[in-house]
Amino acid sequence: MSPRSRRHHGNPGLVLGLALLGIVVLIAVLAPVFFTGEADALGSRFAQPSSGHPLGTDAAGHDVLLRGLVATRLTLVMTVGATAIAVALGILLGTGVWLMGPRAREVCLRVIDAMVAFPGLLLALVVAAVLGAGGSSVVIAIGVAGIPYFARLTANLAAKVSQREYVRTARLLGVSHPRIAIRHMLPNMAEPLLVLSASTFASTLTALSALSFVGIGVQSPSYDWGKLLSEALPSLLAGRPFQMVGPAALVIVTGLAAILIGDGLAAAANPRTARRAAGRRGARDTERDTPVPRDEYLVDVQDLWIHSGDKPLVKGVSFGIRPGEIVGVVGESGSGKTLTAMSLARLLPDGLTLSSSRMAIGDLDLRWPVPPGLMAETVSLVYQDPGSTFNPALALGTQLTEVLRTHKHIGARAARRRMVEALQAVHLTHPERRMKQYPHELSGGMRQRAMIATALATEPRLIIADEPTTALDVTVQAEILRELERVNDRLGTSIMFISHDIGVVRALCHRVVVMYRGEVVEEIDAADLTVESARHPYTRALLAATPDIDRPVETLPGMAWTPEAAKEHSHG
Amino acid sequence: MFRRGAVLAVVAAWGLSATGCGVDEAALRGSTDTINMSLNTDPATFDPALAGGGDDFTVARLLYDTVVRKDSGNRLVGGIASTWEAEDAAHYTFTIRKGLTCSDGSPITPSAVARSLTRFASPETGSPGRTLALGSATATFTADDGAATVRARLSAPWSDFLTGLSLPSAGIVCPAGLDHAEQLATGKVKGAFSGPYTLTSARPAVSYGLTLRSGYTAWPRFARPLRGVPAKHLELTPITDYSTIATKLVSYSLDVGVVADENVNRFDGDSRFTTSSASNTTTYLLFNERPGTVFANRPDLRTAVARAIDAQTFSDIVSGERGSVIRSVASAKVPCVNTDRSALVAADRAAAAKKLKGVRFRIVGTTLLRGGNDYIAEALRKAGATARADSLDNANWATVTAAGGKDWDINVQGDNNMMGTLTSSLLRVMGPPTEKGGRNKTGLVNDEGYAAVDRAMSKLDRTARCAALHSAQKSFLKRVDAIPLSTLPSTTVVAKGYSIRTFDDYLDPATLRIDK
Amino acid sequence: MTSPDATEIPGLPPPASAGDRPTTGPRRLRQPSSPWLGFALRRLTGLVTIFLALLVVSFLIVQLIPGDPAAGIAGANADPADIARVRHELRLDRPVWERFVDYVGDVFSGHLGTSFKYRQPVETIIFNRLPFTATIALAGIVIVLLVSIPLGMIVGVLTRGGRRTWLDTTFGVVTGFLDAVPGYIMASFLVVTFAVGIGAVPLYPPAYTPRFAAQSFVLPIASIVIGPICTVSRVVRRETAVVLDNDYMRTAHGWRLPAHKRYVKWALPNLLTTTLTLSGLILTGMIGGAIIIESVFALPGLGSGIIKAILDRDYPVIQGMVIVIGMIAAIVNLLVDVLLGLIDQRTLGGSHVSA
Repeated sequence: MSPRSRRHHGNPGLVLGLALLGIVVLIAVLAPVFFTGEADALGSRFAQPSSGHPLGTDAAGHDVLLRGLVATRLTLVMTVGATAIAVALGILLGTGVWLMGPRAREVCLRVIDAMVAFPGLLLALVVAAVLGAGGSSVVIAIGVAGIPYFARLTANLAAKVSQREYVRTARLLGVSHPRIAIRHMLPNMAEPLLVLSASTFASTLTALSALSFVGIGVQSPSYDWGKLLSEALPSLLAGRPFQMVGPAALVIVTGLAAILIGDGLAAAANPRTARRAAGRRGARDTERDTPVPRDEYLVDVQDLWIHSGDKPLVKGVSFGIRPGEIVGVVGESGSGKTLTAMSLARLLPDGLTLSSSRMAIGDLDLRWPVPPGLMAETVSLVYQDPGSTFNPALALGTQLTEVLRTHKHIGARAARRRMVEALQAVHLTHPERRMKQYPHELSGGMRQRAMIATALATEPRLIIADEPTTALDVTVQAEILRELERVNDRLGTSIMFISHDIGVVRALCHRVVVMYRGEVVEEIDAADLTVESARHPYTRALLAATPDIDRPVETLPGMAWTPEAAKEHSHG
Repeated sequence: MFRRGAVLAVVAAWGLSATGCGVDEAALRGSTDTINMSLNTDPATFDPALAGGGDDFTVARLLYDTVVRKDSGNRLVGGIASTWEAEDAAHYTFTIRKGLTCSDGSPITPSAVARSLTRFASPETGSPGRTLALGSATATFTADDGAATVRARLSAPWSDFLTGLSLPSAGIVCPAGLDHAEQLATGKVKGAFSGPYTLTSARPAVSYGLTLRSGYTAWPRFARPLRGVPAKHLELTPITDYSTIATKLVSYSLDVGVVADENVNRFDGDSRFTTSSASNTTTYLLFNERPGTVFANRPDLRTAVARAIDAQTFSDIVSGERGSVIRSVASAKVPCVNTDRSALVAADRAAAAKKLKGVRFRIVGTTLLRGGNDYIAEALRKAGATARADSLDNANWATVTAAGGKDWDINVQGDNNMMGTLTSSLLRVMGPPTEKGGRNKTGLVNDEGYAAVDRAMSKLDRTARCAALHSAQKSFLKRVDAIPLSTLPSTTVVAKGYSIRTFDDYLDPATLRIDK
Repeated sequence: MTSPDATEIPGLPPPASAGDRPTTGPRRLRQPSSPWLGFALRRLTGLVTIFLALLVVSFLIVQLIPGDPAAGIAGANADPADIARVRHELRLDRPVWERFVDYVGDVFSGHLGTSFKYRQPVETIIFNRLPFTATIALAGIVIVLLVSIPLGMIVGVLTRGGRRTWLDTTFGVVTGFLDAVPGYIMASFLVVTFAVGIGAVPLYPPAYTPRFAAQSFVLPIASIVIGPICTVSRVVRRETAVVLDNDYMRTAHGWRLPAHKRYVKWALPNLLTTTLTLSGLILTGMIGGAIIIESVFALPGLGSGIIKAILDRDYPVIQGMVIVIGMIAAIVNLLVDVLLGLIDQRTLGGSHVSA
């Protein structure tokens, strides 16, 4: 089973939506074939529901149920038609805009924006008034009214797609514009456009019935659900409510199906929301023989297992960190180093289960619930900075002071003052101004300094730094590493430093834990981290793969010299 | 962050304050000197002469008095005139009541009455009521202020003249209004009103407020006097949807409403309301007989159409089973109307199918009769014809049918005959066609029938008039220029504690009273 | 190489603002006030352009509506002479361009013309009706935001990372169901339940009644908000899932901030961009949707007004309403962008298509 079909299968809403739509389509195909004659026959008028006419008859004597069923085909055809107009012309306009020159594009986007804002139903009403009442004119009216919205969303998507490498490459290679649109842009927008089409279908259905309600929809002898509904509405309170039931139920079911399909597709398209829990996070900590606490260690982890469902990700890891010690954890991605660190911080992602025979920081046993305040004063984290560790919507000061206000219970002004001092301590320039700025206004290095300052705010015993310099320029990398080293020097805080860069680890850490496929393969002093002294073949392979291994060591702490870095330096 | 919060809070507080809570049943019927009444739509004009029918007539009746008024039994009663005399069908004298005043306090003199009627009768004014009151004649009005009389001389006899002057269109506009005739349509000329109410507020689409004049004394003396007191204030709200009107009535937000479909059933047996029905609207099919059209010179085809359709079914559809089948172009309460079934073509589907097979034509009608239009087309299709029915809004319908034209073959005519004169409806199917300034939509004069109408209009004697009108009706029925269908009754629903009077098929809004 | 202008590579992001020359330094080095100035200039030009476009388009489009206004207004009994007289009175016997010039002259001297049907200034008619539509639309959008944001967030939090699939499904089906109910059916249902007086539910007027003016708005607002509440809460729920998955939420968790701070202070502002953009569309959509709701509840608002004006072929009123509604939509759109700018200045530059 392909990953996508499995995702669809696991989405009950989508399944229900497809099932409902299937039924409606079946009715649309079959009902006109079998019932058209009967639906046009004139029987007794104003009949209440009976076995012959389950939903009664209308004023002219038509069977209400059969007419509702027969109307399905025309309604669906009209809805699909109007949706197709909106989708096709919207996509054409939306992608076309991105193939224009920048100035023309800006003008076009403005025009589309203005048209999106104009109420669609009103536009449809005016267009329908011009075209005259009738099925095809409302289809055109609703379709046309839907174009701006679709064009705008397509333009949004095209804006993103056109930034991608392959589109730019194709353009530089001189591929013609329509070809770029068809070959490169459309396929990459297909999924969100499909989702939008589903929701456009739902809104088109209601809009069409709304125009029928106003009386400018399908004209007799044809009939769609909207027309049947508008005929039935006056008798709703006049003792004949049943005439409304059939078309109302069908229109709602069809709309619901389209909405569920749209939502389902959207969920499936978004891997993050589609991710299913592999299992519940339970206290599956099996009571094992309590191992002997190792007093020399601040952090003591013994026999840590982490499972995703039945699949072990971390397999019986044990290690320790002494007070004031910087321990590096290295390994390639997927080696379990981050999971190990996150379980120590009690921040394991959902759906993972862990068990250990001992996991403690000082006298704090992490296998049992720990109050958040205590946790905050024990462990702090510094993350890799892809520009997203700070909340883009809040000023930096608001975010930084929050930690102090929450855990140290001090007022806003005092927290601000303390934070400014803390920022100064990590050598962030213009701390006062930085506090007022938003994260995107700061560079990665500045943000990382701010993150370290916050990590220190609660005076923790352990800082877990998860690849804190990976995303930074090499020069900045060195400064951040120096900052961490200073913290360790000055405050004696233990640091667990996670990295895949063995050179950096060797420069900064006292001791190194090497992980491979969920297991600790070697624990070694940083000084011994050479191809010669490493025992495990994986460690040696890692070392051998690092280009700077035989270079004379750093002139700057944490600064591994590479030709690239040298080049960067001369530029900066 | 905080700015946004504040904005939201303010908007929220404003929004919530607009909603409030449910209606308290105890306070349901508001103050007792105001009546809330529904209009079908906004009055198109407050100028009585230009009033086209429906809501225009309602407000015109309340704001302007006429020289004579309609009473029950197809009789007239004095209005601004106390008595009147007809020498023959072309010469009339009215004696004007003394001491009547306009809304600005000025007296309503015979000269003022003559001046207003002269404007009504002038073709330049373009009053839709003119042909009803005068036929194709012209009229001159001369006042004698000393004798308190107004004399009317018609260029040709028209025995419907008196009834025509009871039309709201013939409402007397006071001199102040005539001086600013171009502003009459807005209802803003303060001294223009001669009727019991003045227009005190006009918010199109929202509501119209009318206030009773303190010095008004010109109430007509109906054969059966009205009981109760007139409301000091009338609040008229335009609501088109009958279901909504009915729901408003049952939920106490309306005191008087007019309903004309199935929703009338909701008041059956409800002791909180009284209902009275008026059938002044009739429906019939009209054929376009202008040269070059499908039905021109084809009485056999027209007969086949009549054979294929069932008037009862049409009636049930358009009226929600409340209308009744008619045998002429007017309802059964109109004097001299034909009630003889044998004058009509009998249903015969098989014979119809023989003639209609493969014939192609277009049916037009207004959206009000949509269900009925659709039925006619369906019945004719079942008889083998290729019929298309277009339900058009009023403007489109008027454009297609009013000035003749060949874009239609059958017109589903809804005919509002407010005053209950047979002639006004007969002139739809005979006499001068619309393109020549007449009312006849078929485009064919029908000399025989029209001569009979002319004869009737020259007779003041009721029996002689009826005899002539009967032959006019026989004529169009035999030729099948039109096919009578049904009445479209409108039912006035009045909440307990209020009353209103219907004279034959005319609902007189000026008879609204609050029970004492 | 077919590109006529090699320096102009289509598809690159739009320039920061329309009048911008390429800048060398990063944005943050520029004056902090300049984005607002450029924004104001750009949007003002935009508003003027939209106004002119509405003026021209609305005038031209009404001419295309079939049906002669003069015939409609002259009525069923009119003869050709009557119709011709009405046509002359309405100045419809003059060429289109001449009427257009007159109309533009009128508009620029502050009048939207005179209604064919009511013989009153169009602005009077519009301002009689505007409060009704404004009340239901504004109260509606406030209620939509107040209900759907918390609802969507709560469901989003409860179902994060695949938790409580049953709740996710139920929420999707229930909101989808309510969303699929056409406005007038919902309105009819509410009338049946609340206006006819069945059972113990409070009674609300089914149509605008001067006597119960405030209560008259309850049912229309209720029926206009249910659909958008479902739409917005589903979007908020989906956005919540995305926001909760962001690194900054992990950061907040790592700082051991309590749940209410994480959701309200950290997650909520990030939901607002999408929600506000959507709300602007929904607000203008409500003005359009009011067309139906106003008809059902006999509310004399702009929506039912435009239907009536079209039926009457009241050209000046149709034109006036299209212009007024269009400008309201444009201004709402602008206000949303101003709000977004207050939240995040980055959105001020250029068109917010990248949102």
